[in-house]
Amino acid sequence: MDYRPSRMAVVAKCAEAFIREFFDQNPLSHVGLVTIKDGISHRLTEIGGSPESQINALMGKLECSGDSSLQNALELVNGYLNQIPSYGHKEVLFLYSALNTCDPGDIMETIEKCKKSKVRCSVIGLAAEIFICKHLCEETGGSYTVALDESHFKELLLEHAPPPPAIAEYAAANLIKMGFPQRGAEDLISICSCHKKIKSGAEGYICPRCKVNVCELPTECRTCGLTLVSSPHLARSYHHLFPVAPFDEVTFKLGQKGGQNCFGCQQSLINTGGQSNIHVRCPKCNHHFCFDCDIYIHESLHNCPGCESQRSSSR
Amino acid sequence: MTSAHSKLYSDDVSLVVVVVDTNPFFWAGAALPFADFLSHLIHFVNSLLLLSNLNHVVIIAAGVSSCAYVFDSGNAGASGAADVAETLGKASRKMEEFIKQDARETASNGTVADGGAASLFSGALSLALCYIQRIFRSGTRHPQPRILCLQGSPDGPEQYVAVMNSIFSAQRSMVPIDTCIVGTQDSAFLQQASYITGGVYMKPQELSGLFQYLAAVFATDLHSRTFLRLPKTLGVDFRASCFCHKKTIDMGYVCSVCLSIFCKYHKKCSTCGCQNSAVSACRI
Repeated sequence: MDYRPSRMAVVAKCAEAFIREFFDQNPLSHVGLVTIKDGISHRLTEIGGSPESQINALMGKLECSGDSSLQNALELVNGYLNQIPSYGHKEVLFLYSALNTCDPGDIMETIEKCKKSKVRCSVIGLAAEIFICKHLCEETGGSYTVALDESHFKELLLEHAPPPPAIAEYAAANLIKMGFPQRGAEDLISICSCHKKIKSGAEGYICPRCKVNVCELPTECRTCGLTLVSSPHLARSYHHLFPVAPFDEVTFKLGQKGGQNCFGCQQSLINTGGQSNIHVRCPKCNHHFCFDCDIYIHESLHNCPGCESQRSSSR
Repeated sequence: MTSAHSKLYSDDVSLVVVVVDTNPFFWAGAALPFADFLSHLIHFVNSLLLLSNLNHVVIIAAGVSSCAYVFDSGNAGASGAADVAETLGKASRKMEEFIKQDARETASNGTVADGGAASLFSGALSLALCYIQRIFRSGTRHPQPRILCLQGSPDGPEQYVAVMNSIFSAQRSMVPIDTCIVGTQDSAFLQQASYITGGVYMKPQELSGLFQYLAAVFATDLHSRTFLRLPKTLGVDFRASCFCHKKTIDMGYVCSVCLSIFCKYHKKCSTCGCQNSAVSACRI
């Protein structure tokens, strides 16, 4: 039943896939990695907005030894997350394989502290269900799941990538000042502020406030501290705010006009084999779709082709 | 699945989904008449079909009030040989029918106001992506898909979210979106689409030679493109526009709840109605 080649290797691989998916769904968020070893918690990487530094650390040598201490980890993470601006949602995800926790003090107090700082803690266990993890997740509003095998573990981990519904009291709404840099001119030669290398202006972006060269987006300008993003980064999150309505299941009725072909892919919806002719229909535009298009629309495309192909009165 | 001989799909077989802008408000004032444009397009489609008998071309028309599939070379018949005259006839007829139907719907749907109306590009792009997903599902051996957009009308800002969703979905499925602008203005949406998905963006200078541009730049399949030097766009403008005045801004304020962009600090976000605490305004 155990994870091959070793639990650490499986966890590192799945964590890498998670980080890529996480930044794909939440391009403006930041991630940091912390390990628990010999009862002490260490910071593996700084909280940053770029996936590469996190993945490099995961691919490096990761060793396991000794006991694990949930309280030490929570204290360390609490310290880091207190430095986050008030409009950010704070979350911790534990990938926990131990069956116990050896703590120097009262873990209930630490849990209370996390609850007060509004940190949402979730745990994915690899072994068995542990009461203290369940208590932690219930108190802070996170989710506790236990993986049955490797593929189940990956599935549970990837479920944490889309953003959870935000609780209004947890983060103050704010207007954050951001810059939208353009690429520099071809003939502009300057030193980029992140790697300190000479680059042509066309290879990097120019911060609109202090005019230094930065290599990639999204990032925070090192000179003036302005958050720099491009409009596709903001647009990646819009589908969380404007989701597609779920489609209704309908059966094909003889003599019904229209609805013979899926509106999206033009595949015939009528089965010649006499099997059940169930397909789906969008409640807003009344176009018929096959099940495959339904899955694609709701999981990847986030647009209903029927609604987009109509000029409704709101346009 | 039902063919008698086994189809061997090599790298250079392609599926091209052509999204054609049939906005009558744009074509009424365009330099190139629509009939000439259509004949350039049909000759291009024929040349694609003649490059390889396994090539597959689909044409989707984006009108002002509706979008529809106009032509699918897979329906041409099991004989396999592309009959040039037949393609021409079928596609022209269907396109004409679509334009008449679209015009009827526009007339009955009184909300479309004037010459600045945009075509329903996001709908046609979503249809193209659904069709491509169907081809992906048909088995491990399938042609390499790509999308070619022939756009002339201006971008409709209300379609921004839908177009960006389609672009990200195309990027995930690794489908390049090529663009050929047949109008006078550049399209910011399509520049971003081609840049993000790795396609080619081109605005030809002489529209009377449109077929030559299409055949030289857009006819090659994805594998062969690595050996060619295709037109590169120099600068893609990724700046955002503010929600209040729709002007492009360099620096702005972003609401942390709904991600709306404003050019000036407001006490209350107009999209989601959240009150903003004054703290962050002076912090950064």
